[in-house]
Amino acid sequence: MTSTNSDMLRLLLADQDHDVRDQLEEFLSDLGYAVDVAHTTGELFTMTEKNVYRVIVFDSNVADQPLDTVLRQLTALPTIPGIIVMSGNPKLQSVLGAFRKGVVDYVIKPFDIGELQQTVRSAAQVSFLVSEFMAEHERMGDGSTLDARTVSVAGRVASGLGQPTVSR
Amino acid sequence: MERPTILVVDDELLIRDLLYDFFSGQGWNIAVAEDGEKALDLVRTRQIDLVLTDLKMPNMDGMTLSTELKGNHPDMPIMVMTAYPSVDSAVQALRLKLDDYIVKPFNINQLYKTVEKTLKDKTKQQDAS
Repeated sequence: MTSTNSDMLRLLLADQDHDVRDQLEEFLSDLGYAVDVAHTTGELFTMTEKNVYRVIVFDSNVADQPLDTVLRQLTALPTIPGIIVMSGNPKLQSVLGAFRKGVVDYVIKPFDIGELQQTVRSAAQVSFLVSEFMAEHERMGDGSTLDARTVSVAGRVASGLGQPTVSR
Repeated sequence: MERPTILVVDDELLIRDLLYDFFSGQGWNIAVAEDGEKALDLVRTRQIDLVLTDLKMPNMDGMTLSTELKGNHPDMPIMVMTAYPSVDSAVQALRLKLDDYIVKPFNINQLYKTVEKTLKDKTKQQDAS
């Protein structure tokens, strides 16, 4: 399996709450991730066009477009990053939308930072494994296009993450 | 895929009968169970290709059943359905890597399409692995 050493991984973080953003940026950087920060959805998209991210952590508060739209764009990225959505005011439809778009986790604030660390690691693992799945699909050469849902299902299954992302 | 076998788990007889009749008519094999414990018994004795389970059931609820199944059958597609949706249970389903979270009342044709797609996705993943 492709290495997921944190010092090789680029992570994009977006949150309008600057205290949370600064705290997470420092925490994740200390873990060895190369952390970039976006403040708006526009910045999020611009940065994903320029850089390859294995993990994207964003709070739904930066989504000035419907969350579904943001997720559709992020899950269409060629590297299929592992996506973690955070929210301090979660709505059921948002959670279900994120679920069906194949996000790795939906973290409700306030959260345990240690659990988030585990989730970020899982997200990176899923991203690498889905990339391998996609590569294998291309090698099989049946010409079909995999939609986001199929890829997300593959990510869940291929990762072998039959266990919960975060222990309860 | 040969005729897949779907296990429908729900304590409501009406739901079990409805899904049994509809899905059978679509050409699937259907097994039914009224709670999680009976569902686990069936999974031990039969080839099950997908589990569609209600969440709120006596004896063993759907989330406990899903957790048990994920432990022993990590590749098995599992979809949960509930008339009492909540953010907490939806997040729990997401974290268990379940395949969908259906809110009752559901549109049965839409449910059929979702189950069918999940079965096809499983086949694609198996082919690629």
